[in-house]
Amino acid sequence: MLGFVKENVFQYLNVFVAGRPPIRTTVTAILLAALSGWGAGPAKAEGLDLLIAAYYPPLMISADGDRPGISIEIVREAARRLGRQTTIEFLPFRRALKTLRHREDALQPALYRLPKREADYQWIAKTHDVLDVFLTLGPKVNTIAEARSLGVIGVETDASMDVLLSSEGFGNLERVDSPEVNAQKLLAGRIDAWALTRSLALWTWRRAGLSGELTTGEPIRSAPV
Amino acid sequence: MLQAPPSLPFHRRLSFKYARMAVVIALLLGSVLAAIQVYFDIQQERDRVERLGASIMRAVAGPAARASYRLDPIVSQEIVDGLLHNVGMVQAEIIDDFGDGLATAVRTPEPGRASWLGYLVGHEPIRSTLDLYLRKTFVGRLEVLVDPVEASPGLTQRVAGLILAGIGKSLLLSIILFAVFHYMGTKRVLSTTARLFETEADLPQSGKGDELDQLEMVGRSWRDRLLELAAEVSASEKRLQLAAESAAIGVWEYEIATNTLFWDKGMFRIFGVDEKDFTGAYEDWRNTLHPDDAAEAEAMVQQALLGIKPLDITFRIRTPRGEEKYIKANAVVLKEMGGQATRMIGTNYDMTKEVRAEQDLKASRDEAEQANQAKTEFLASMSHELRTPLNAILGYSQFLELNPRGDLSPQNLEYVSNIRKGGEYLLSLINRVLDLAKIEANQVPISLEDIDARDLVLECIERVRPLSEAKNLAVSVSVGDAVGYSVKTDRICLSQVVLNVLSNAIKFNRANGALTISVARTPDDFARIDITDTGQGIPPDRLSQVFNKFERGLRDPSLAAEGAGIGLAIVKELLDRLGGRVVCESTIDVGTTFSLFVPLTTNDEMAIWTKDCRLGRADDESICTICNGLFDTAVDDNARERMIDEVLVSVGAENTGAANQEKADVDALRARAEDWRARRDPMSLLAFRADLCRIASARAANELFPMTGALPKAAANDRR
Repeated sequence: MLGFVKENVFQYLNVFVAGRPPIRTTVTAILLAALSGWGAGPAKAEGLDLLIAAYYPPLMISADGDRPGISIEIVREAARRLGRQTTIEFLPFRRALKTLRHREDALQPALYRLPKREADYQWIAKTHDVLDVFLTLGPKVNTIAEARSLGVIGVETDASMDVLLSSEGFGNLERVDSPEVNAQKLLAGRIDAWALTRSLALWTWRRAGLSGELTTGEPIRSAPV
Repeated sequence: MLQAPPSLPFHRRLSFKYARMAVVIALLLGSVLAAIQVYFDIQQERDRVERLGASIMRAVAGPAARASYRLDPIVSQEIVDGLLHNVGMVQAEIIDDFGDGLATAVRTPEPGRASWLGYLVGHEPIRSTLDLYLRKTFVGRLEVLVDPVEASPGLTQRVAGLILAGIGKSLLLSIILFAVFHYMGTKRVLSTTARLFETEADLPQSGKGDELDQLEMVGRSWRDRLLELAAEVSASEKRLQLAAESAAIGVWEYEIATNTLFWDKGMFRIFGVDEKDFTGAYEDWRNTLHPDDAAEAEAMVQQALLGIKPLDITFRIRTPRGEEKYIKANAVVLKEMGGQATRMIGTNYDMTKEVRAEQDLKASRDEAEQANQAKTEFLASMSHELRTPLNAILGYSQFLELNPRGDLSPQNLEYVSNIRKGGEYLLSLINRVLDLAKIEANQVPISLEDIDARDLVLECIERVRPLSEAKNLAVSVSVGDAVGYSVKTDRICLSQVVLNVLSNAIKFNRANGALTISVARTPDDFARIDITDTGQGIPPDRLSQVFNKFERGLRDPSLAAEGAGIGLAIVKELLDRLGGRVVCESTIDVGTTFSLFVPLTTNDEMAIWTKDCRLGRADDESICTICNGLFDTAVDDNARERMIDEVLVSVGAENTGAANQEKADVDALRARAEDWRARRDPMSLLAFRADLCRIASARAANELFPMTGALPKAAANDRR
């Protein structure tokens, strides 16, 4: 059983997620302190720990290679220092969430902390905050109200923006399973706006090498990861 | 009386019962087999449906696995929705490896597909599950529900067809079985029963049950009858044994194959053989035969065995004590199916006494006939000798009555007249005796001619008219219609017959009485002449004797003294010769009627003997008379039997030295006689007489006698 999550840890993690290296060591230490109670759980299995990851660049990119993602690297380092073996399993987003709910020996390095997910997981530490925005190839869309006038908005299924906009009554959402698809759709003009976490959207757009000028609106909201 | 068996209603026939039973069994077996077949068919169909579901699931396994791996409800929903487009697929669900449903699609089966038969074959949807793997990792499973009725549109029809075919086959089988049972069983049983019922007149018509019950009923009836017959046979055997013993009959049996004999006690008694000395061999019997009769007796036995003629012989034996006995033997031959004689069963009767008596009787008869012949010849001779002096007496008395010299006193003339009357009476008597003697001596010539009976009767009436007038008799004559009274007869003889009867009717009539004469035809072609007087009548006890010689049926001695008792004897003798007959009926104090029957010329049945017509070897006339008398209604069968014996003797039936043809004829005549003795019917008597006449005509032809006499038609035809 994972150790108890302390709410104040989130601030430090947010600084780290933001990608500033001087702070990295401090975040890791905090995480180690939090994870030290990991082995005190009543059903904690000694030895192998499972890291459940979903494609969520730049926090979680790949299980292999030199750039697995910031959150993965932090957790690995913490585990190394604790002398624990870890293995990482990259899963689709929903499978990752569900696996996390069903396995007690699993830990996900990063997850958008929404109220609806609050009770489903044990939150250990915040690594950084993320911002949800509307991305367009034209004028900025800075608010939910402005987004209501749009024709079609692309979202990722069950992603934070999907949850948010659905709760706001948007009926013009087109859901896909990967951000790359929405990026392509936006570039092709099949959707009017792309609702996503800003860092993920930008990373995806760049990684895809798309040529358009992506316009990022004002953050609709901010949420810890 | 024959009867048909009670007709069986359809439902009681054996074939129907068997067919019904077979059909029920076939139906049950067919139903079980059909149910088994349906069960396996359904199982096979369910397997097919399951395989179909599995196949469909395998087709979407990849996408479904990826969707399940990604826990993608949209794609999963699209997949399960797509699955429902398959026929029979009513539900599809993708469940992830966490056990949660990822996507579910349900469809209501198409209306109208389900039916009662569908529920029968299994309406529960078939659930199929496919585990989903992605890179060998279990990521969930796909479950589908398939409605078997919808997925197997032909199953219902196949099951229905199977059931209907089973019913149809059962019906067809029932018809075939009924036909087979009917033609192979019931029909033959029915025909057998019908034949059996023909012998069972007492069986009830309204029987119950089937053909076997009817057969059982017939069988029971037969068993009862057999028991009754066995009891009757047992009793009959006892009676037969007693009868054989009392009748001195011996019963014997000859087993041909083993050449052995069985004798009962009567046989030992007849043959005088001790049972201890009897070996049962055929030779035991043959050794007892008289040497003169042995060959013929054995030949007759062989002929009987060969079926040529029944065994009916008389032979002589010599007993161990040396006695000679006459044995009459009769037997029947029993044959097997192929006609081969196997046994001979017969009787022996010791008829020594009868043969001796017959021999004595024949000797006595011959002696009497010889004496009678001598008497007749004597009478004829003496009558002639008497008439010569009597004529002298009559001549001289008539001469004296003339009193030529006138010297006779009246008293003397009266004496002379009495002498003449006495002489005339004596002459008349002598003439009658002479006539009778001639008749009996076979010396009366018969010359046949066609005569009108009425003319002859009228002539005779005229001849006796003075006598009737002298007695003041009222004579009435009735002679019938104009034609059809022609008789074939001898004029003189018939005139003598009529005159004799007329004379008697006048002589024995009372004074002032009546004399009635009538002539008529009878249906059997006779002219009937009735002559009726009004005399004192003849007592019944003497009526049968009036035709005997010197017999008179009168009660009044004074009247009786007037006749000599010869006239009616002559009448009968002459009519017998002429193929006719005379019948007398009389009532005391009223009168007497003599009916004379004379054959008409159209009568082909009566034989009239003439010199040219020979029937026998010795006494042709008597045979002819007997032949005619066979059909006389006044003659009883015993008298006929004596006549036949007399005929057989006369035609030479006992003459073993006769020529072959004649012997064969006589044998045939004897067979006819035996036939009549057995049957006692007119037809066999006619056959006997026809054979007799045929023999007569043959002999006449052989001896070159012209056939001018009257013979029956059969004989005349044969002669032609």
